[in-house]
Amino acid sequence: MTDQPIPPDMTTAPVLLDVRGVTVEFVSKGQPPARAVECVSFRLRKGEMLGLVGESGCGKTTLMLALLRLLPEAGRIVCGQIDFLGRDLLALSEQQMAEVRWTGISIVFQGAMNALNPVRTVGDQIAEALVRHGTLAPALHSGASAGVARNKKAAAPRVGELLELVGIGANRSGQYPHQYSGGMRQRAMIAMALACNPQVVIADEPTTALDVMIQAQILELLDTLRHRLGLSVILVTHDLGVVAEVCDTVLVMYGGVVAEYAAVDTIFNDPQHPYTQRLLHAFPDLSKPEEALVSIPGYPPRLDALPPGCRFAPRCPVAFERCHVEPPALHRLDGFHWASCHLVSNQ
Amino acid sequence: MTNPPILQVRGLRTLFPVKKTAFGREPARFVHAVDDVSFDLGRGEVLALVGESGCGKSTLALTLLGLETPTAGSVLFEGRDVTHASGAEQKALRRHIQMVFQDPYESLNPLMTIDEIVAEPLKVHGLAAGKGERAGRVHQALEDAGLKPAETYVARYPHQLSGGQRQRVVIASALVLEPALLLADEPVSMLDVSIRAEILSLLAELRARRGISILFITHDLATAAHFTDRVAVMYLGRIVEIGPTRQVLAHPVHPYTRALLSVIPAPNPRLRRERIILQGDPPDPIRPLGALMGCRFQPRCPLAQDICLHQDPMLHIVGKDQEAACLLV
Repeated sequence: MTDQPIPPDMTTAPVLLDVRGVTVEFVSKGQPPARAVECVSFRLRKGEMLGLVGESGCGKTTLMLALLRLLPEAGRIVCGQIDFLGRDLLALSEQQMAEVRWTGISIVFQGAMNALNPVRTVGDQIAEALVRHGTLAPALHSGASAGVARNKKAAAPRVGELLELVGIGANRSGQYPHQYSGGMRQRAMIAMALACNPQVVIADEPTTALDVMIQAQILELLDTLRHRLGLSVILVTHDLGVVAEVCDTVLVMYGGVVAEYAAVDTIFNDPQHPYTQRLLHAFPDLSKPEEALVSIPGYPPRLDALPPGCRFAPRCPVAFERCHVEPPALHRLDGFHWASCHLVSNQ
Repeated sequence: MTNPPILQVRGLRTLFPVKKTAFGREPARFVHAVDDVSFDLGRGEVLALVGESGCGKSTLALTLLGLETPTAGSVLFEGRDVTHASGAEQKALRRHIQMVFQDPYESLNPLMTIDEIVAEPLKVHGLAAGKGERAGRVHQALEDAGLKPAETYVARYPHQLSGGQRQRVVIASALVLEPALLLADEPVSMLDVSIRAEILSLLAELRARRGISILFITHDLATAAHFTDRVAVMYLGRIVEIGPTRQVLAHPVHPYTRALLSVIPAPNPRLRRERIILQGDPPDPIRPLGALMGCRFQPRCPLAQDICLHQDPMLHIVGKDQEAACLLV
């Protein structure tokens, strides 16, 4: 990426997705409900790349599934509001919601590249998405006319176009997943997610299983696509380096709550939440090999045994009495910077 | 390295034959997993072996451990040639060379208690026959691996432990034999960032306290940077650059090392820099014997010249203790 991306204006670009106070619980028989996500709010603007960061089990994926109303049966959204282009997604019928998925918001699931059907060609599987949704989205920037994909044959030109878009080449549409490398399979999944021209793409750990060189290729692709198509992207990852490389804004989650939410430069150069600060110290930085890595003692909380106060308090080196009894609210520090920490509220 | 090296690897090759097709007229083909690798590992040294998946780093480890048979070359452990050791010799050797595998969720038997898991290597090698002695060594190994107090862990099962604790159990069951060399294959890649550092410090501490040598196999150059003495970069079965870690990071010479370093994301948006993104994937390691004419990196190399098509570069000195296999430097 030689041309530095122009960060979308965090105050003027139109808001596509407005998430307010979303809380998700999982219920299992004979046990109190487990809060996997509590009171999470954020806004996604047009053209923005938001990094959703946290350790495994912090609720990142659950939050994304909640946005798409794809939670497993035991999960439910107990409160909150999700507005997408002014429509309340939680108020839509299942059928209306099915339309929003793919055409409005699409998702590349974690490990999805390994979920391609091995006995069907890649092109066939992308065509299926087009056919199922009954529409052939108009070709991107090429002026081709919109039409109805009555069968997969009719979808072929669009499939080729999508494969070209992600750098695979239309000629490989007839190949099977095993003929693709890992990086190419992930590109194919991205092509599939783009099939119905969504405005928002959620990418859940899109590079986790890939080598660093292939990771760089995929990140470059996501970045190119969002500039070319004006996409907004939510990049779910545990890798702070990836976030620093491509995101505009960052939401740090811990134990189901928002720890800190700010512009990417603020998160990395002026973090206020002790968790963000410690996480950065635990992350290897090639530019400072002499600096010792410091792990965060202890383990993230279990959802069925959340601490009564701040969820990070048991591992926090600067926790004081209040932290152990009272959960901190999400405080606004300035224009675009929020952190949920009692120490921040004291400033 | 004033002491003689604990491990000397010379021209090691591990090839796997590929089944001929029904039309089999073409020459026999082989997966060139490890393709002429040479290096020394000093006593108490931590060497990082870095490369992308499929570059042969895990096959190299398995070959060193005797779990794969080398096609050519030799492995010297403490000066003794162990390349073609017999079964019994191999077993004895494995007391001194232990492996730590990548996935602590899969490398522990879920039906065994921690005590049984850590004691098993002792049983296999017929060591510590007495109950009391065995318990003592298990206790010591668990505490050395940072599971303190050991009594609270021995009766538990793997599922009752966190990922970090499980990886400590894996390390404890390697330590119980008091090995001189640890082959750690991606020991932290399955763990969350916040607990990776503690496993790395544990390995660093074992080296400092017990003088254990460690071959740290990883795809993550950034993690390697923080606690290894030297780094060897592998590409398509061959070491293409080797040298002191800090020096290689500061002055990478081989174009592959340079590209690899450039794409490791820096955890700071102010350090976003131009990346050398190699397109495509590494070439297929399957080919007929001796079919590689030029440099193995040449098809993806941004600097490749004509000469690179015709000559396979060998490692040569490019700086103090630093070697690279590139014709252009």
